[in-house]
Amino acid sequence: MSFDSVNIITFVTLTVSLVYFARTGYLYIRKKKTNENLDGNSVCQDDHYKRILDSTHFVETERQMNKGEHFDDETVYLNRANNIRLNTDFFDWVNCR
Amino acid sequence: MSVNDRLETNPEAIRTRFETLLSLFNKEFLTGLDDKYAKSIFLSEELLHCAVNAYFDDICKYKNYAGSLYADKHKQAAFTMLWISRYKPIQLKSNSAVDTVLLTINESFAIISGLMFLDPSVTDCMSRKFYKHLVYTLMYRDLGGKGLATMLYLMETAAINKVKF
Repeated sequence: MSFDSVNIITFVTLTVSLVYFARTGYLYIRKKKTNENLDGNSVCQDDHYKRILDSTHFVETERQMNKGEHFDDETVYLNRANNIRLNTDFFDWVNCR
Repeated sequence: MSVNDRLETNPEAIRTRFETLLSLFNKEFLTGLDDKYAKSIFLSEELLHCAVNAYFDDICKYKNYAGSLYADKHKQAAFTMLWISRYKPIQLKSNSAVDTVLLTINESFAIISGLMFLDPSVTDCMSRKFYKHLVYTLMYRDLGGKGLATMLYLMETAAINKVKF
């Protein structure tokens, strides 16, 4: 093997090693920073979530505000039907008069 | 009632509503029909009961979602109309002279069954043309209960403000 080939192989090996260690170090530092951020956020997490709950409370409970209508005595409905029959044109329409 | 309590259909409520609609048919609907039509029909109580049952099953899920004890009256009216027109409890006697009135008799019954949940002014402000449109909607349009409820809400709002439609 010539001296030039040895130099090239050494150079490539050193470059690859350098790149590998640099990348590993970078990823390690980035992971450490991410973990620090998460740890930092957990102190505010409950407050943050509470703010979300407060702001969405109305929209999320609005559908429960309509309590509906009900008559225990359903003769109310029958009286209305009686009124429809006696005092409106409804049955003229039904009978096609 | 907690929103986590699941509402189940109430057998007593089903029976009460069934008897109300039976009375509606016998005392008001048959009486309002011309004799020739009244004599040509009969009510299948079984189909009427199926319609009532289906109504309560259907409306129960909206009450569960909203955590309401009772449904909004427009939903009550709409789903009543829908299930009666689907089950068609009014049957034609054989050898009846069938015409448009008899062919749309279930839709007519469905409409009065729904209107009794609403403000009385609704029928006062309705026109014949609108009534026919309602019959057509129940027969042919894929409107769904909630869509029909919205329509009934608009009708009632118009009527309360004395707007004819």
